[in-house]
Amino acid sequence: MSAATLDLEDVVGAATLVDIVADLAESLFPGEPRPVAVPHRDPQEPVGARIRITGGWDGVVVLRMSWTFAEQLAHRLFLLPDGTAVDADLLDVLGEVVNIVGGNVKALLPGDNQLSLPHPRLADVVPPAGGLHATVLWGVEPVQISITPDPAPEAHHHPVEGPHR
Amino acid sequence: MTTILVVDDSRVMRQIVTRALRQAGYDHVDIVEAEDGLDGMSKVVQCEPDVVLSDWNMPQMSGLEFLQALRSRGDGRPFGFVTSESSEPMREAATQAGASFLIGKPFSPEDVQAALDPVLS
Repeated sequence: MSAATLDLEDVVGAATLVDIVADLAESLFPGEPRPVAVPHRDPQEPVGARIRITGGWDGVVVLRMSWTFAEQLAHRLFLLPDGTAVDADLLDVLGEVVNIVGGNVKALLPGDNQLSLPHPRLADVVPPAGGLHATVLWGVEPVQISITPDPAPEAHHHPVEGPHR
Repeated sequence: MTTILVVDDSRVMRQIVTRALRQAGYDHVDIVEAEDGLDGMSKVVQCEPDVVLSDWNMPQMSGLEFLQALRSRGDGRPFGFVTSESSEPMREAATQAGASFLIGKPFSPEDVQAALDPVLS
């Protein structure tokens, strides 16, 4: 089935995207409130990551969150004192989150698919138009996940970029 | 002393796996880390781990290639995947290649314990 003809809402669904992020949050921080779906809301000073799915379905999964929240996650996951996380820590966290979301999404898609390596950026990663979008509130921070079909997967090259501040 | 090799290109995930191992009761094991399959190969030679926990999707050498390389050398030590890609076809591919188990990300310490206890008992 081509990327263009697959009904993402039917096969994956925005509610499932929310569940994937909520399950991830619960596994990382047991006992804390699960992230919940909220209406579209852009993170402030966004950073993000993308990961490609190719094969039976070609497309891209994009993660967006605020720089502040990526920093908070890095501090908490690496057990770092406040203010000591470096860019590489944030990139690692962004890459791993999109990798987990992408892997879980890939498992729901038909056909034999491959997952690329993640491409995190300390700058905004704007998802392509169309597809499926969900925003969750993780603590007090909006986190966006998008899945977008890509009819021309070979035409893209998304290098990892450095910080924008 | 039991040694567990944790192979993942993400440093944060290596920390999360290590923490989950400790929370699962493996607090007296030696945990060795590797950044990808190639690094994992050399750590296997250096440390002779009792079990390998490896990511699937890694640069240089994927987890599956790492497992296949070990098995092709006649190395039959327990090997499990810790991966976000836990669909049925992936599980079948892992089993066919000789993996003992596959833990899907995200996971809990209980998931880790349920996978590891049978191979380390």
